[in-house]
Amino acid sequence: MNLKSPSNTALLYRSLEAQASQHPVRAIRLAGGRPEPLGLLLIDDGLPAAEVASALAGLRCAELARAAKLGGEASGQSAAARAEDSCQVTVEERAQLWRQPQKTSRAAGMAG
Amino acid sequence: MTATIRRSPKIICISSGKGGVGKTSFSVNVAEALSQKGKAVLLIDGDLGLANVDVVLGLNVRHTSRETIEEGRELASSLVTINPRFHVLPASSGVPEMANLSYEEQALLISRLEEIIDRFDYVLIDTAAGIGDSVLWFNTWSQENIVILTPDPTSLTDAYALIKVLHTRHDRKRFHLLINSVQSKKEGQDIFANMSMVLQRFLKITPLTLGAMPQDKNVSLAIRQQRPFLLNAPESKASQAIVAVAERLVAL
Repeated sequence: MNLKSPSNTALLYRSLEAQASQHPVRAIRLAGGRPEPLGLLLIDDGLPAAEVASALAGLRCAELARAAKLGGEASGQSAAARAEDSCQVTVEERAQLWRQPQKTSRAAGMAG
Repeated sequence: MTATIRRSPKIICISSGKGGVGKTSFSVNVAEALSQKGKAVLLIDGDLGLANVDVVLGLNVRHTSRETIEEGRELASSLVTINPRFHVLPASSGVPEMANLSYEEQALLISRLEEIIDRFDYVLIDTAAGIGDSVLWFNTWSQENIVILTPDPTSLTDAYALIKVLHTRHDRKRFHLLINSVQSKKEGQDIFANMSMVLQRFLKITPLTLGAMPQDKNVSLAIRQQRPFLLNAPESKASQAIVAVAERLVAL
């Protein structure tokens, strides 16, 4: 059995994105010519763009150069597609929406 | 000669994103509650091709908003009187064309509505489910936007998506959240707090709370009997909650 099948890595990336939403980091998908993402970058939220770009420039990948542009444009989508998707509920938003509140005692009925 | 009272109504849109979360039951009962407080209310069935308001009220309607669009019929002649202060503009059922009005037809309907709404203190619109055209333009026509959601993740996601579309593409900023079918007051508070946090974090929106409606068997019983639960079971928890909602709306 191939433990590193494309479906497993996609699940891994989604899981990491969901975890990242709990922390002050940006999760940037690396996209290329394939349907599935090439990878995932987790970068501290507060870092200046220039510093990030400098660090990424040392990596040998053309898709990473696009990823160095902070502002959520590292997905490789066209500008038109991004505009069209601007209302799409993101992975981060969904993760927050689905957070379970702390278990509370289920008191009968509505108080007051 | 009787002078016609001209009002400046508050137009309130009731949407949810997800279907089946209790929009129509809520709309009917809050309209009844407002009328019991002496307010003149028009409830518009905004689900133009799959009417539900008339079903929940057990009405046999002769004319709907469809005749206004297709035949130029006066809207006032299509209104149904529920009580002297509560009127309904019914929609049609099983008419896909009404669910996909052209821009000109939308404009016609809105202009005809604006000819009659000054008879009312409140105009409530029970929209269709989803984020289709009619949902969006009814919401942008309104002054206040109510979004109904339940604790189910599908409802939370769809309600958020609806708000995101209305805010991002139509610059709506003021949303009143009503949490339906909660098992406890705490659950309602938790759901509102989390949704509020997500809206503030990602959309910079601070929602307002309309409170929460409890799970109450009187609600489904009343729907099956095609009567408002406020009339069927006025002492029930659901009725107490809907009266509280009406009071919050009056205070807006």
